[in-house]
Amino acid sequence: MNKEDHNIIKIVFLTSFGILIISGTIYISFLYSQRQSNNIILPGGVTYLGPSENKNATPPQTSSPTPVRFTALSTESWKSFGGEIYPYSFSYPSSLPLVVFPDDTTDSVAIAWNNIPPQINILLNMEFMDKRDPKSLQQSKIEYVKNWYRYFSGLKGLSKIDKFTNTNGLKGYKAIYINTINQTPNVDVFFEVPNNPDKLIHMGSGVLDPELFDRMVDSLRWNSAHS
Amino acid sequence: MTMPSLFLILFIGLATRLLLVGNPGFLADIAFWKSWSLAALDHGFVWTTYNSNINYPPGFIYILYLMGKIYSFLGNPHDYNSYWSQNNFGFLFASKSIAIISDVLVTLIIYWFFSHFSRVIPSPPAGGSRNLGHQAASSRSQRLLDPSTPSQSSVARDDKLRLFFSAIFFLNPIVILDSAVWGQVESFGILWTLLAIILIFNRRPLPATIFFTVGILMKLQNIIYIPLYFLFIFRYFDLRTVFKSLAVATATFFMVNLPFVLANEMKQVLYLMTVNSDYFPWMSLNAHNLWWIVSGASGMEVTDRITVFGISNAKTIGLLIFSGIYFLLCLLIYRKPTPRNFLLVLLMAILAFFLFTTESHERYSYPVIILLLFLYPFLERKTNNVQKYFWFVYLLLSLAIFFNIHTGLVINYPQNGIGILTKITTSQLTLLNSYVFILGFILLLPYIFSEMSYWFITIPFLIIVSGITLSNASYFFKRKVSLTAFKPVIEKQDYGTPQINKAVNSIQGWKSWSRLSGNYFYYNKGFGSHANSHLVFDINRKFNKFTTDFGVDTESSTLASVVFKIYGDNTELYTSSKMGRFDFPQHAEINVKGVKHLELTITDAGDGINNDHADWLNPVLYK
Repeated sequence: MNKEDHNIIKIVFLTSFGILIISGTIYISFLYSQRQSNNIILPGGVTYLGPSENKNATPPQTSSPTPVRFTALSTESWKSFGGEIYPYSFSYPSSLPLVVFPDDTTDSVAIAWNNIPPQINILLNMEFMDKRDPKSLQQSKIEYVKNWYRYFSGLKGLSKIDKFTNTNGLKGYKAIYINTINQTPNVDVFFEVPNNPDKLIHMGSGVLDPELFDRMVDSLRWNSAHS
Repeated sequence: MTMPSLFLILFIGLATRLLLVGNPGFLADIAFWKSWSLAALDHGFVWTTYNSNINYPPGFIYILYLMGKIYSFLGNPHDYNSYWSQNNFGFLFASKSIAIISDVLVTLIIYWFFSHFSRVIPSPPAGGSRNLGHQAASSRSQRLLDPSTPSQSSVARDDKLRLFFSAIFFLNPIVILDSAVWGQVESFGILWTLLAIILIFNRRPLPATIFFTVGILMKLQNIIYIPLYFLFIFRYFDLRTVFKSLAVATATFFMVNLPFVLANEMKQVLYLMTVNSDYFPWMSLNAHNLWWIVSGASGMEVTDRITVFGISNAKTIGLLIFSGIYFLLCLLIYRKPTPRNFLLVLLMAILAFFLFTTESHERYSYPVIILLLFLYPFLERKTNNVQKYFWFVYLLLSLAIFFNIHTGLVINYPQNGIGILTKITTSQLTLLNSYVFILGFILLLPYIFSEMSYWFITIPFLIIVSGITLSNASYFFKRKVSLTAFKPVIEKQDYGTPQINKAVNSIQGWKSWSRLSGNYFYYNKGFGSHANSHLVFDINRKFNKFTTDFGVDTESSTLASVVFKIYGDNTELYTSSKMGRFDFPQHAEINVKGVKHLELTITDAGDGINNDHADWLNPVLYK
C-alpha cells in the first residue's frame, strides 16, 4: 500500500467518522427536543397562522348556523395541563388542541379548533380584578362576577349566577351572561384563588360540549404550595 | 498542520451546535419566525408585510422565506399541530441553520483575515503618512501575522494565532448560545459588516458598500454604522469615492427591495425600517446597561418616557449621551482614518449604543466580541502587560455579554438555559453585570485616547450638556413649556392613536393631515385624540400651573359629544360640561403644584364613542 492509498483510507475513515458523529448529534438533539413540552405556541398579536382551509368552501349562510361544539369519546384518555406562570392545573381530553401565547401575563390557555382563531377562543385565563377596575377589590367576589359583563361591549346583562365548590375544594361562581342579541351561548366560571384576593381563574365554555366543560371545571386545582 | 486543525475546530463547534439545536430556545422569536416564514412561503414578500406583524427589515424576509423553504423539505408547514408545536425539531433545525452557517462563515473570514493580514492591509509607503492606516500595527504584530515572513518560528506562531482566533469565535459560548440555543441571527447580521470591512481594507469600497447595504437591510442594528462608514470612506479614499459608494448603496437598496419596487409598495419598506422606533418604549429590553441600573433591574417594567432630568425623559438623555460619544468617534475617524481606528469606532459605537440608549436589547452587544478580535492585530503590543490588558478586557466583556444574553433567555424561558446559572441569576447580579459592562467600556477608552488627546473627552460632555440645556431651555428661561414637549407615559384611546399637533384622522396618512381646531378655531399645538381617551404625562412635580383649551374637533360629525377631565395624581382637578361639535373651545387653568402625573381624559359623555374626535388645544405648563 503506497502513501497515497494510505492517505485516501485515512480521509475516508475520518469522513465516515465525522458523518457518524454529526448524524449522532442530530439524532440526540432530536430525541432531546421530543422530551420537551409539545405545547402549541402561537405568536402574540395579530399575525399569519396559515391559510384558512375552509375559505371558499363554506356556502353562503341563509340562517343562523347551529354552533358546532367540540366533544370527545367517553373512551378517550385525558391529560393534565398546568399553567406556565400560575400553579393551576386541569384535565382535558387528549384530542382537544390547546395552545398558549408566549409572554402572556394572564397565563391564558386557548382552544385551536375548527379554524376558529385561538385568540378569540380562550378556555382559561387569570383574571386580575384590580386591572379591570382598582375599586373592584373593595367588592365581594360575587359582586365582581355579577358585574363582569360590563367590561365587554358585546354583553348587556346577567341571566343567572350560581355559587359552587368543585371536587378539589375551589370555590367558584358559574355565570351566564346575556349578549346584545339576547342570547346566552356561553357559561363563564370564576374560581377564587386561595391567598390571592385580587385574582380569579376564569374559564369559558366557548366551543366545548357542556358536559365536557363541566368535567374540566370540576378537575381544576390550585397548587397552593406555590402561591 | 493548520487546515486539519481548523477542520477539527469547525467539527467540534458544529457538533456542539447540532447537539443543542433541539433546545426550543426563545419560544416567542421562533413562533414569530414560523408565522412570518409561512406567510412569505404562502403569499410572497410584500403580502407578508401587510398580513403579519413582522418588524424585521425587508431583506430579512428572504431569510424567513429560506427558513420556510428548508422546513418544507422536513415537514408540512400547513400541518397545524406539528408546525406550531414548540418542540418542532424540523423548524428549530431550519431556523437555527441560518445562524449556524453564518457562524461557520464568520469563522472562515476570521481565519482568512489573519492568514492574509499583510495583504488585506497594504503596507504604507516608505516614510508614508500616518494616515494610511498601518502605523498602529507594530512591527512585531506584522511578523506574527504576515505569512510572507518566512521564519520557521514565525510561521508556527502565525498558524497558532489564526487557529486561536478562529477557535475563540467559533467555540465561544456567546456565539453558540445565540445561534444554536436562542435561535437568533446576530452572526448573520455581523457577517455582512465584516465582509464590507475587509473589502474596504483591501481598497475595494464599491463592492464593500454592496455588502454593507445588504447588511443594513438584513439586520437593522447595522444602521448605527452608516455615518462612520461613509466618513471613513471619505477620509480613507476621497469625496468622489463617497459619491460612487452612495450611488452603489442606493442601487443595492432598490435591488434588494425589488419585489416592493415592482409592486409599487416602497412605503412598506419605509414602514419596516422605522416600525421598531418606540416599538417597546421601555428603559431596557433586558440589556444590562445604564438604564438597567437606573430602573433598578426592572428595565422592562419602566417606560423610557419618564422624566429623569428637568423636563427631559430617559430616552432623550440616552440619545444625547450616545450622540456625544458618537461625535467623538466621528472626530477620531476624521482625524486619523486608519483601519485600526475604523474597527475601533465601529466597536465603540455599537457598545455605546447598547450601553447608553434606552430600548436596547440584550443581544446588541454581541458584535463587540468579534470586532475586538479584528482589532487585536492592529494594537501596539510592545509589552506583555499591553497584551494582558487586552485579554483581560476581552474576557471581562465576554463574561458580561454571555451572562446578559443568557439572562435574557432564562428570564422568559428558564427551562431552556443552563440550570445552575439560571439558579444563581438574581437582580443584584444583573445590576453588577451592568456595572461590569460600563467598566469594560471605560477600559476600552485608552485605545481611543492613545490616538487623540485626553482633552477630546470634553467634547461628548459638551454635547450632552448643550443638548440637555437646549431641550430644557424653555423650562429654564421662559419658565413655561408646551405639554407637547412631553411624551405620554400612558396613552390609550378607543380609536386611532393620539396625534401631536394634528387632528386624530391624520393617522390615515399624510393626505389626511389636518390642523387642530374646535368649531373652526385653529391651533398650532396640542393633541388630537378620540374618546374614550386617557393620556398620562410625567411632569415630575416641576410645574405650578397648567392651562389648556379643549373642544370637539371640526373634523368630527355633528353627533359628537364628549366630556373633558383633568386629574393630578389620581385626584380630579377639572371636569368640563358636555361639549358638542358646534361648541367653541373652552379654557381651563389648573393648579398642578406638586403633581407628578398629569392625566388628561376624554369620555364619550355616556352615549358611545362614535364621532367623538376631541382635542387638547395649546396645553401649556408654567413653572
